[in-house]
Amino acid sequence: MSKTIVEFELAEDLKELIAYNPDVQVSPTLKNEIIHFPNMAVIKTEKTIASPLQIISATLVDDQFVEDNFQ
Amino acid sequence: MVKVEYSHRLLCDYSFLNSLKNQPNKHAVFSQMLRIKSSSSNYPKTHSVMLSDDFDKLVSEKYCPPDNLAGLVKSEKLSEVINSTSNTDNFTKNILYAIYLSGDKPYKTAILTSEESKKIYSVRLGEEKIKHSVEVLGGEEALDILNRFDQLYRIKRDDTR
Repeated sequence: MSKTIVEFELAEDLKELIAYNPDVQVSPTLKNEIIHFPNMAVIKTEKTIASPLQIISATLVDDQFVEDNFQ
Repeated sequence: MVKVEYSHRLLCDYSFLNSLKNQPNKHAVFSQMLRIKSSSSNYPKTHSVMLSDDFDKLVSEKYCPPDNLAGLVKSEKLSEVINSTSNTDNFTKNILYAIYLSGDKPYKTAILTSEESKKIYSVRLGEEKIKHSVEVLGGEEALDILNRFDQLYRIKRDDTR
């Protein structure tokens, strides 16, 4: 059984998650995108919690994101 | 991985988030809030909280999608005992919850609210003893603590490089 969750986390935490957990599933394109996010940036992620954990999407929270997603 | 021990838990109320709508630098404030909640060492992803009544009200007013609001603050349900107490409005509920939160590390809670609501909290929060563990920060003061916490994160991050 798996569950999809949405989280906001620091890019550096997400990079560490991928670097130290080889079983985390993430597409090569998305992985490359994540590696290039600035460390201090906040990232909105969508993950499937199962075994193994899968990162479905990672969106950079920038001014445009805030403008579009918060009042 | 940079984690920070912040000096206060943050309890945001409806009027605080509502007042941010008119802030010219709201982008920066939202980013700070997201970063603080993500970088707390004692309360990862639960450092900043909001009572579920306030949270649900903002969602119903389409403040932002619930997933995004949950990035800023974790929605917390009050115990039935407090909720069912007669004559308990949201100001009192927030004060009671702030006192409850201050029972654990870092033993201090800051209620972030608007300038107007701060006046009401200040009247309710009469006991000097309570003021040691619960602070009410309205308007600019609330933005100041977010700024300070964000600066702490940046300093800690620079130190670990």
